[in-house]
This record gives sequence, structure tokens and C-alpha cells, in this order.
Amino acid sequence: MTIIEVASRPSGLTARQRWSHYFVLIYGMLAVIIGFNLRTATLTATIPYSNSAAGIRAYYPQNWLLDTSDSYVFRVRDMSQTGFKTTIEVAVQPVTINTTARNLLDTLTLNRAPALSAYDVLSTNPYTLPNDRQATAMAYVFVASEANPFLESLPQVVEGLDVITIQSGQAIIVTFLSSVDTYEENLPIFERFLNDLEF
Amino acid sequence: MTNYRLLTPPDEIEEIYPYRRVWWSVTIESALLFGVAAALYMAFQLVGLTLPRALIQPLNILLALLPALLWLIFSVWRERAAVEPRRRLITVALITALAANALALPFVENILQPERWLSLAGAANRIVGYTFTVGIIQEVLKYIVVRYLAWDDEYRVRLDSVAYTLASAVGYATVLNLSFVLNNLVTPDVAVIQIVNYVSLNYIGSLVAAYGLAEVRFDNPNPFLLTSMIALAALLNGAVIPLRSGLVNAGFSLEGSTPGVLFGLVLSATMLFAVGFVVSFLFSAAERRAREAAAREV
Repeated sequence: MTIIEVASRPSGLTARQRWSHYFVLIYGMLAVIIGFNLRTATLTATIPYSNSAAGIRAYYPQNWLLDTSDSYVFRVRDMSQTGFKTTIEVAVQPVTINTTARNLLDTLTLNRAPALSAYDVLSTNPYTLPNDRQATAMAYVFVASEANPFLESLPQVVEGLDVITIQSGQAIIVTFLSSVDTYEENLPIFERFLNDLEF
Repeated sequence: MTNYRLLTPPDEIEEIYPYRRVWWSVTIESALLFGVAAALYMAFQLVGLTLPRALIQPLNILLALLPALLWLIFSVWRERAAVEPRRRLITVALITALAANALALPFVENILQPERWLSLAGAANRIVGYTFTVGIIQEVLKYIVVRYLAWDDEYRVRLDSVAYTLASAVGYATVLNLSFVLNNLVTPDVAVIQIVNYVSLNYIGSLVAAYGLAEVRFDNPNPFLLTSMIALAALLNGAVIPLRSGLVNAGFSLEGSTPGVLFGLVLSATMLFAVGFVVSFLFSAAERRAREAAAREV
């Protein structure tokens, strides 16, 4: 075998060598930017949902599981999460002229307190929806445990946020539930959901 | 007819190859690693071997360090026997490991978080997603380390490129291995399969990048060749990750199903062999072209 030994090296890089290395670095930077864009596009991808009977049109996160089988208008859950599944729920409730958001929040609290373990209201504040419509937000926590005791899982502290607004004789209650560990991380998803919600 | 025999035979002119033979080292290291993986898989899955819980983590750490140990024995240690040893192999591996631990892994796991948004995506999206996240970060980081530590001064023959990029691959893979075994308490047969996967992925990418680096150093290729090789290395990483997940992960069935661990091992071995074969062919062709060019000049 003949060995091709490079005995004398050129003093510097040739133009082609220099540009070869520049192109790799430029490509690397572009590729990371593309990666970021893909990430953002995937994480913010939504699927439209409309319910003409309730007069609601929404965009829920892609890959979340849609459920319309209960008393609410619809509910979507992130089934890819371990532990408590992050949930967004929209419910509509008929109200009288004299009903206020405060009445509805008190009713929700009275209904939930016996049903949910360690249920506790954290705060109630005015909330402005994207179209400048006034609403009321109530933050609360409770402890969720697995329905099946044989699964041997620890109970999880869940943080919730109800946003209530009254319009045309009906109250629209939008609920966000997430494990306290992922609440701050998932809250922007709920805020985007509210931004796109039409009713 | 009388046969005469010389009392002192004539000196045979033996051509001494002054460098460590890289392909031999890679073959031995890979074969031993795959052999250990297969043996552990059979011991745990077929024979039913069980270990005390206290022994699992130390054994997993040993397995995580196994590729680096094999590389130290069959590559670095054997350099001492070569006439012209490669001096910066350990430096390249160490700097790559430090950079991977300090920059690449935190960036991928905490900022890009591909598992969060790619786990439910379609096959094409996963390939593209992993290529532009895990693949590109891994390959560009290894390229930068080799480029600035070895490419200028330490490249004397084409195969130096393979030696140094594989040193970089060992450094990166060792950090991935340690991160996996320290964050997941799994049995050694599961750990070793993941370790083999990390090592083969890094070797595949580095072999492809090695060809680009060698061509730029010793030939006068198109300026986009090196970029194409790095892009191809990232794409191979991006393609193998979801492909392997699809093969290994257990499918959903009411009759029950088991993970196809062996498929993952076979895929890693096949990809490493195929890429190694193609790259060695490309290196041989490049060396032959260089020899022919040198002969023409003479």
C-alpha cells in the first residue's frame, strides 16, 4: 500500500476550504432556526371546532382528544401528558337577567367542594377577553387521584382556571385544568385558545 | 538438480504502515459492543437472569462507559504501537464530551424539547424534526470540535479524519449514555440496547462527516460537499431515531405485545455496517484517485 503523506502543508486555507467551513456554520445556524420554527409550528398547531347549536367556534391544540359526550359543549385533553391530562373545557349555561358572574362562581364552588378533594379557591379577578369583553376568572386547586386504586399512583395537585362571561342570556364557562407542575408551561396554550374562541 | 539454500536469507523489504489501522479498530470495538448487547439481551430475556436492585445502577454505568473503554483499548492504546501516533484523540473526545454535556444536551432537552412535540407527529414530520434538532446539533458540534482541534494540524492521511471524528463520536455518545443510565433505572439489557443505539448513531454521523472533512483537507472539492455531508449525517440521525422507535416500541394490541428490542439492535448494526461499508469504499476510491494523480505527476 502506498501512503500519500502530505509533507508540506500550505500556509493557509484555500478559498474553497474556507468557504466549505463557512457554509457548514451557516447551514448549522439555518438548520437550528428551521428546527425552532418547526417546534413553534407544531406546538401551536390547532384544529377547528364549531358547534352551531351552542354558537361556539374554537381552535383546540392538535393531537388533543376531543370529547363532546358529557354536559359540557366540548372538552379537549392532552393525552400525551403523564399524570393528570391537561384539559380545556367549554360549557354553556342559561342564566336569568339578574344572574351575575359571582353567582355562577359561587355555584361552581359549592358543587365542586364536596366532589373534589382539597378544593380551594385561590383568587377571583376581573378578566378581559380578546374582544374587550369583560369576564371573571377564578383560580382554584384540588387534589386529583386515580379512579382505579390498583394503579398505585400518587395523587396530583391540579390547578384550575375558570373564565366566565355572560352573553345573550347564557353564561359561557371556559375551564382550564393542569397539574401544578406544568400549569405555567401550559397556560399559554389556554390563552391562545381564548384568543381564538368565538361565541 | 541441487538445491541451494542461503544461510542468511536476503532482507525482505517490508513496507511499514506508520499509522494505526482505523477500520480494524472500529470493527473490533463495534463487534464487541454488539456482542455484549446480544449476550446481555439473551441472559436477561431468554435465560431469565435477574440482578439485585443495588447492582443494576453500577452495572448500567459500567455499560455506559463501555464504548469509551473499548475505544481506549483498541484505538488510543494501539496508537502507542504506531510509528506515527495520532496525538489528540483523547483531547477531541474529552472536549466533545464537555461541550455535549454543557451545551448540546441542555439545548436539545430544555429548549428544543423534541420529545414534547414530535412524539405524536407523523413519520415525515418526525424525520424532519429530529434532523433539524437532535441531528444537526449533534453533528455540527462534533464537526466544530474536530475542525478546530485536529483538522488543521493533525490530518496527515485521509483516515486521520475517521480516527478523529470517531473520537468525537465516542465523547458525545458517552455523555448521552451516562445521561440515560443516570436518569432511567432500567435493567442492563434495556440500557445496553439504548447505549448501542446512541453509539451507532454517533458513529454513523461521524463516518459521513469524516469523508467530507477528509475531502476538504486533501482534495479540492465543491465548497458545498462538506455541508452536504454534515446535512446527510444529521438526516441519517433524524431518520434512524423514529425508524428505530417504530420498530422497538410495542404496538397496541388486545392480545398483548412486547417491545421489539432485537429489531432495534439489528437496525443499529445494519445501519452502522452499511454506512461504514459505503464510507470505506469512498475513502478507498479517494485514496486511489490521489495515488493515480501522484503517479501522473511523477
